Amino acid sequence: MDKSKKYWNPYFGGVMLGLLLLATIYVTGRGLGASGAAKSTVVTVVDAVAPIHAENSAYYSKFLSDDKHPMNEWLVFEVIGILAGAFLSGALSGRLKFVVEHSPKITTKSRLIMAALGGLAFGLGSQFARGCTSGAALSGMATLSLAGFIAMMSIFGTAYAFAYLFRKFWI
Amino acid sequence: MGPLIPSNILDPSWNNVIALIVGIAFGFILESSGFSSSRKLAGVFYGYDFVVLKVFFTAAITAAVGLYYFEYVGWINMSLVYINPTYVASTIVGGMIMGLGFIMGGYCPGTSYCAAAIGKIDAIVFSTAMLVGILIFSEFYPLLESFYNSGFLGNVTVYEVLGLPVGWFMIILIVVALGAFYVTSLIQDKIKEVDY
Amino acid sequence: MNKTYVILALVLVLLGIGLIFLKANPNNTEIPPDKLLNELNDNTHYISTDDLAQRIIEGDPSVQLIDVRTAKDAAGFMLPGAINVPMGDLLTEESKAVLTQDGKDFIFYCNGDILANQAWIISRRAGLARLHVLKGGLNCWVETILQPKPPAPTEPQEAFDLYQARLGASQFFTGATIEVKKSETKENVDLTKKTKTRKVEGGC
Repeated sequence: MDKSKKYWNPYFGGVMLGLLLLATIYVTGRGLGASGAAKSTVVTVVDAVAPIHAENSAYYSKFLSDDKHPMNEWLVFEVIGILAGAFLSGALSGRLKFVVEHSPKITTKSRLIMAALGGLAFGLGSQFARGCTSGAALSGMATLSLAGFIAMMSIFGTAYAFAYLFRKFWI
Repeated sequence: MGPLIPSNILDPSWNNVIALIVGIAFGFILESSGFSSSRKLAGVFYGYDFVVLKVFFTAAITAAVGLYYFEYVGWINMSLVYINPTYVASTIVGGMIMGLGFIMGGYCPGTSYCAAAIGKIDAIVFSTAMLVGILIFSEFYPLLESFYNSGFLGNVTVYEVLGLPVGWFMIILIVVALGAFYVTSLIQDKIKEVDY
Repeated sequence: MNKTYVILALVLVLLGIGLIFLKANPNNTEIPPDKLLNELNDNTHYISTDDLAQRIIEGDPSVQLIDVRTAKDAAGFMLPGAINVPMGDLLTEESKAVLTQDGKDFIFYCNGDILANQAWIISRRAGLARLHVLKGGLNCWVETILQPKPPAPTEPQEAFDLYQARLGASQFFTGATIEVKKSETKENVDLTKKTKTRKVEGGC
């Protein structure tokens, strides 16, 4: 398969990611993340549209303070970096292209619906678990935290359990 | 001695600059490893591509082993490293919802940003829908609050809970990972390739 | 199987085995000096004699008093329920067992503040938690709880309320009415003598 040749060897990628994680923890004392930036975005938008509602809500108000804008968050800058880094890598390997990637057995429309449902579930779940695959599972496992292992097993266990139901969307 | 920012060796004003640099490296590594393709990611659940398992496990073990060597040499003070708090029930349910989201959407938040950055429209839809999911959670938070805070065990590590020394736990983890790498390589050979 | 992978796997296993034999750097468990300074500076580790008396009277089970004076001094008089841990024995295994009991607030005291504060710093650096110091020590205890002085008539109502509370506490700890107090607290006579330079009511 010439296509996958262009990607890094997964173990090489894993070691690089591990070293990055190690360096991040060495410098900042905590690991990587991704869903936190989406939460900051939601808080910012709600605060702009309905400031009174945001202030009275028990959840938004946790992330709002007078001296700091909710977008002035570590994870927001990190995600801007992710976008830039991924774009760079994609550009160097010639993978930049507007496409909807889907199995030949399903239509573009059903792929987009599934993506939307998946995103919805991930947004919801990441709040319950206090982090997503990067923040809770990967960084949690690196520090050997119990929460990280529970999150990892729960995410992958459920995905495997339901894999059969959704097989036609992928293979 | 690290971690640099919590120990005040590096000024906290560097935080955002470091975040940006870390993010660029994170995005570059994920994209280069193939995490920007949902069909490649989903392969782990159907046995035709185990890239997720390989990268994920290798990264976690590299970082964990490195971290505890750093501690031994005295480069890092583990008591200042953030161990995420364990809320058993909330984490399990959250993980299950995310697992369902993973098998439906094919991405997780970090990988969806990578895929969106190189133009995958499904990833853009995924990450936008994620915002709606967070919004729903936040709006219903008063109802969910007691569940969200239930089963709190503190900021504990697995080996503490199991009562094992770090070294023994790490060796078990390494053996499990190596076993998984070997078994998945056998499975991948058996399953017919999926072109994507 | 790829030969490179076998070598890499072996390296990983060796690194893991290495961790079994390495003990983490013991210095790393210490509280950083700046954090310790902050805790000392904000004075939250002090507990006043009035608060302590209140908690003992209420039968608060989390109170664990630690007398850090020498065994000889402690043999003369100790607060109710206190355990004597002389400064020299602070880091022994026995003391550790006392100071790591679950659900307890450990309150160090001596005649004044100094020894108790030293004990607090040493134990805190040893990584122990929920540690407190009795502000003013036994001297203040005698002055404010055992032998409270009535406030001057010109003082505000609060001073009288405080005095009433202290009188109650005094009766509780001396076991009888004010008249009997002198004979009951005879063993503290040497303590009271040292506190000639009394300050104003309320603050020791």
